[in-house]
Amino acid sequence: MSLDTGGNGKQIIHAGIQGAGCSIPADLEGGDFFDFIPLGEDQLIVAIGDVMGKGMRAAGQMKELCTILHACTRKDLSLLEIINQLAAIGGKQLHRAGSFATLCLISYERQHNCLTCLSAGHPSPVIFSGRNIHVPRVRGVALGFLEEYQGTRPEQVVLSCGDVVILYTDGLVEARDANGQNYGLNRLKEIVAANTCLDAVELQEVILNDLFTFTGCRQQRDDVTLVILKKELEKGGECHGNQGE
Amino acid sequence: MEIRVNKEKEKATLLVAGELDYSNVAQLQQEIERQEAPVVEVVLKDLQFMDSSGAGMLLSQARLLNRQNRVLKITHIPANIRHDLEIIGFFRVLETLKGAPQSGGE
Repeated sequence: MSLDTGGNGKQIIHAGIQGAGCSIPADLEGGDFFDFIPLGEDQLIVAIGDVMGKGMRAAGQMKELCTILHACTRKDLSLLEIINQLAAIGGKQLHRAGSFATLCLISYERQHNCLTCLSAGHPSPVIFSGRNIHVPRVRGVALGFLEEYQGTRPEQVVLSCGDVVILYTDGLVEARDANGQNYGLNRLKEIVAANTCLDAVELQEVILNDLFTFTGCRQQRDDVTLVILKKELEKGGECHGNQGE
Repeated sequence: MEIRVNKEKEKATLLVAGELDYSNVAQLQQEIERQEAPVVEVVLKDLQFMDSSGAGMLLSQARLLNRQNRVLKITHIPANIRHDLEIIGFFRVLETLKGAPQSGGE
């Protein structure tokens, strides 16, 4: 099931994963993007990225990259093969235009509860499992910089019920308050760790409220994009998060 | 953003202060393009913020000067900006250019 909430928000429930994402452009149109791509009954691809610059040009390049991404996911390719194709086709287009894009790709397969992730110049996802916080060491060069993808091999993590995965663009952690202080990754981790019992949509709302409280709803320099994935609890299962503790 | 330029015979030094983003990236690009010295050093010591437009422009200029057998050095990068540049693979791309390294200093 995929529900478009309109504007720049999307929600999905697929392959045992709840997904919620939103993108708040700094300009009328932004270069940030995210997408949920369900494959069959048991696989979900999630992408988040940031195209250089802002405005219509960045938004156009972002849409082209998303089109290529969707075409790649229809070919039954591995995550590494997808990112290689994106680098070869989308990266080349970006390079010609003097631009580049960061991208983090995630694939979740329900059969093995296995989450695989890769990054091309994008901040790594943050995984909350009980009291543990894990940041996969996936790194790579942004698309458009080099002729082919260069980066680490994909990292795989087995998710347990209730685990939460956060994906974000730099505009979120670099959002500033009235004193010029950044929101920061630590504050993001703290607010998520304290609310892992919530479902993906509720958690997104809590994070955004905290962000807006921090920034005082000031206009930001960069687009802000946030994606939350939560592995659904088994029926009757208990949350092992920290809410209320 | 403020740019101060020191010219020597073999090197032009551009000291950049303030915030470099899509609204003023052309200003720094034009200043780099105006230089004729074999080495152009961009000192980022007093830069407080750089967005992706700034990173993209600096890499394009580094490539352009490299093709001209010249060098663009990017030095004294503040830790927060260095961290962002590391994530996007900026330094890995600089290393692919002939005559690397083009960045240095803290």
